[in-house]
Amino acid sequence: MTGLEIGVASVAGIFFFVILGMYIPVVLALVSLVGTWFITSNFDIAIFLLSQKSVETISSQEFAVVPLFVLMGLLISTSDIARETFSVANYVFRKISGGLGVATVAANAIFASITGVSIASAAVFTRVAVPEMLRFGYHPRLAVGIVAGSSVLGMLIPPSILLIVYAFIAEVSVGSLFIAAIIPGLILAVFYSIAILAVGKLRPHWVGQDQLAALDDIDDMTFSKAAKLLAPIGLLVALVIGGIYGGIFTPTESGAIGAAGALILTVAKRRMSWAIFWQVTVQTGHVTASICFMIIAASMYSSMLGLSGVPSELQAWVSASNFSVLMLIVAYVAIVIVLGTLLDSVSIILIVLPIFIPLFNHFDVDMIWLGILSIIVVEIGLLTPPLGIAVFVVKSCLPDEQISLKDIFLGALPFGLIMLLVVILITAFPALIVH
Amino acid sequence: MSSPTHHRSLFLRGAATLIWCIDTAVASLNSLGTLLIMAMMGLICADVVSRNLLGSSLPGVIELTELGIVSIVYLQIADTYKSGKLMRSDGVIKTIEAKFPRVGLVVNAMFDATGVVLFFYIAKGAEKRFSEAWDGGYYLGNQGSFTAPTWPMELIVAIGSALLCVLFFASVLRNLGLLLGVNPLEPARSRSTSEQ
Repeated sequence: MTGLEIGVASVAGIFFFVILGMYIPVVLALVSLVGTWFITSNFDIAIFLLSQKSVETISSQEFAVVPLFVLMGLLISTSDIARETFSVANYVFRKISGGLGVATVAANAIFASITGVSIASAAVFTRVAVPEMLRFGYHPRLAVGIVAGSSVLGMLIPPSILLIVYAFIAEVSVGSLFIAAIIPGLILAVFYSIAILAVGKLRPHWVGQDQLAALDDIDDMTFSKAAKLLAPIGLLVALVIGGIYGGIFTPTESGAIGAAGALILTVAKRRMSWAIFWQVTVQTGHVTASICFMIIAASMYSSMLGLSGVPSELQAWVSASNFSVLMLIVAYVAIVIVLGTLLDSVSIILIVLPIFIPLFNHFDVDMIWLGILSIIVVEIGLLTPPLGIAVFVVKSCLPDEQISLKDIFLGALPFGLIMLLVVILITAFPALIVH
Repeated sequence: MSSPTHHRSLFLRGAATLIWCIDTAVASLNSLGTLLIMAMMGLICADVVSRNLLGSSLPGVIELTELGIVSIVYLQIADTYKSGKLMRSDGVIKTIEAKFPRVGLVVNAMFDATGVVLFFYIAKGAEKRFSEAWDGGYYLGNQGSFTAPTWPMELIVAIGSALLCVLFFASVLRNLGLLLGVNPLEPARSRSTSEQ
């Protein structure tokens, strides 16, 4: 067998075993080990590579950014901050038809700027916002769709674990990727809001009578109270994102400051005990180990691919056939969306990108731009059946048994389409991301 | 006197003690990793404060963070697996388990066996790296300002991956035991939890 055949067989084997349910990092590392062994015909080289990669891939202070931002997000999730942000947003949008829905999106966007995982947002806002929307007569599908759809903002608006993972695999700076993600994140939030407002205009009964209802709910909310609730969150965002933007902190430092800030905030709100802090840090460790080990395995996989010659062969093939960059983007988006129906976001990024990055490099595509595109496209998979993770999280947090998985998938569908629209927008106007 | 039942109870006790030892090791590494995350947060914050208020960085923060993150991953990896947080896409395997439970056990045993192989080789490689680091006195940082030896990290990598290898092996045994209908480890496990 030639290196190329081994490379192709390895990729096929990886997909087969991953979908069958083998532990993903184990598949990636083991298939790469065997692939490297066959390509080089030398078992010792393969083993040497394994033991080198298992430590040296992550032995850089940049990787400390992973536990720190995870810790920050999990700490924030123990507090009532999501609920408070929601009631503030509610107060702001109370006079608009569809205001409750827009408030959910806005609160999600703010929550996203202090946490880095979509799943956290989906869980919290299902408990906080769905009952409110239902109470005020929202169509159930719309209510759950808004929550599932806007939970995606958690991974797009920095800080975001997925952006961090992409930065490592594409070898771009975490800081510039974070900065680049702000505008597309806001665009997505605005588009969601516009869509909800349009529903409010076209089908008023789907958004209930929330002007009236919201009024009695936020009776005790005043401007000064709203400002007081938002101030600590604003300070935290300013420190973390502003610190990176202004070049005062490295992303790692900003993660540490953010985690410490979140700890102080939750302690001040009397939400923190030593036991909760311990538990949250243990969870942080689990997420960190799981993600970092995925990155280790993925780095073995990409060096095996490099040895096999698959990327350069693909590159040659793309330049020989009249492939345009647009066709490449369309193919990439289609593949990622299909995989998104089966696999989790981190795995898709780590398995697909090592194959596609050389191709995009061939067309001099900006890696930061590709990162934002990839995150949005991967996140569409969170909303699609059969394995839309955000949808399952919403379902598991719903107290109301009446709303089925199908309702949530259908409700989330328009939001998936809006994401696709944003993908088209940033492809047409890359200047939105790369200045 | 050694009757068959006596043998059996001795065996169960041995198994229970072994499982207790493994569980304790996993939990201890996990606690150490948890403390390390807290310490890392504190250390980096202290560095930022010192640099911005006192005008000078703390020495060694970069090196310690670098050693720290690798250590955290391998201190936590065994507990991550044990808590079911190691990433897998379980749609297909769950369907198999539900429809053909025995096939599910075989497939799961095979998956766990691949984990045994992988982490055996990682542990073996890490042991070699550890002895090199120990014998060669490898360190990070600059002589004169700050140095930190790398052997503790390499040792953690070796212990953490060896422990995960053992956990994968135990899971192979458990799946095979369930398949054959004999499972000496299960009663032992429930006993060990009642003793705690």
